[in-house]
Amino acid sequence: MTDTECRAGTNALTALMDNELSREEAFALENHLRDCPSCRQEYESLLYAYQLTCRMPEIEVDPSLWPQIRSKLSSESMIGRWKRFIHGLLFDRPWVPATAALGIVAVVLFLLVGPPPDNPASKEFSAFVQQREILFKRDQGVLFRSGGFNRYEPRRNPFMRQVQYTGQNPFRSRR
Amino acid sequence: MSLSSSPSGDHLTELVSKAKRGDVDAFQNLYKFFSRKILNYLFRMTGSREESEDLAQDTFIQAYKKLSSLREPLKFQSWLFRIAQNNVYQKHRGRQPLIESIDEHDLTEWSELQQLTTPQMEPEAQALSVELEAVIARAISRLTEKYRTVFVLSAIQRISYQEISGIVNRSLASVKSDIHRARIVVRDKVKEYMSDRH
Ligand SMILES: [Zn+2]
Repeated sequence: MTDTECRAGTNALTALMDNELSREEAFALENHLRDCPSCRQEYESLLYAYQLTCRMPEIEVDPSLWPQIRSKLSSESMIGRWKRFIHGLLFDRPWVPATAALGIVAVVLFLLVGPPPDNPASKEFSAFVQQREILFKRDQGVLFRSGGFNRYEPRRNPFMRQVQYTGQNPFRSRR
Repeated sequence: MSLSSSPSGDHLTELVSKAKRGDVDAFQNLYKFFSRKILNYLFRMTGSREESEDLAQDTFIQAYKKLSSLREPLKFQSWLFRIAQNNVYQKHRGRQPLIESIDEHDLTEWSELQQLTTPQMEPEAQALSVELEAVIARAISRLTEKYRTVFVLSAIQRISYQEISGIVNRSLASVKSDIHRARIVVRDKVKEYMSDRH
C-alpha cells in the first residue's frame, strides 16, 4: 500500500464500523487494514471506544409521561381541530378549496357580465322578450310564434260574454 | 429489557394519517414506538433525566400539533428527532450538559445489556464499565453541540448517516466527517482513562 492510499485519519474508518461504506469500499478498506498496521491500530481503538459507547445504559420511559402529554393533547385537540381541518384542506386536498373558489368566481363573473352578447340565440330571445313587453304594455296582444309564423293574438277578456255570430245582417231592418 | 422496535412502513403510514386526523390513540401508538428513542437521545444531549423528560413531553406535544405539516409519513422518525433537536437547541442552548448518575434500576438493566452484547470485550474492560460509562458520558457532554448531536444519533441511536443528514439539515459529507471527529474525541478520552488505569 502506498501512502496516498492510506486511509488512516480519514472518516472512512468510522464509516466502515457504522456500515456506511459500499461493499466495494468496505472490501478495499478491509484489505488495506490487513496490510497497514497504523490504520489497523487506529481502526481498532475507534472500534473499541465505539463498542463501549454502544453499551451505554438507556433510561426507561416514565409511565406517567404519556398521561401528562395526553392531557395537553385533548385541550389542544379542540382548538387544533379547526386548524387541522383548514390546513388539511389547503395542503392535503387543495383541489377542494380550489374548485370551490373557481366555482364562486365563475358565478360572480356570470352575474356581472351576463351571457356573451354576440350569441345570436340569446339576442333573438331578448328581442322577443322586449317586444312581448311592449305589446303587453300597449295591450295589443300576445306574440305567438308557431311554425315559423309570428301572429298577434288579441287578449280576450275571459269574463266577457261570448256573442254568437248568427250569420244574419244585424243592420237589416226586420220586417 | 425491550428496545422499542420500529413499526413497519405501512403501519407507520396508517398511524400517522390517523393521528393527523386527530386520532389520539394512533398518536399514542406512535409515542410507544418512538418515546424511548427520543427520551434517550434527549438524555444524552442534556445529561439530565428531568430535563430530557420535559423536552420529550414538549417534543411529542409539538409533533401532534404540527403533524399535518409532515408530508412523508415514512420520515416521521427523522421529523420527530428534528423537533427534539430544535427543542434542545432552543431550551438548552449554551448550557453544558449535566452529568447525572444513573439510578440502580438503570444499572441493573445495563448489566443485563452487558451480558447480551459484544462478548469480544476484554474481561477487565467489563469490570470497569460503571466508571467507564461515566467517562464516556462526560466525554459526550463536553462535545460541542454540533458534534454531540451527530455522535448521539450515530453511535447511540444508530441512525444512518443519510437520515442524520436530514435531521441536522447538513450535507452527508459534513455529517460523515463530524461523526468521525466526534468519535476521535470520545476515543481519546477513553484512551486517556484506560492508560491512567494501567
Ligand atoms: Zn493505512
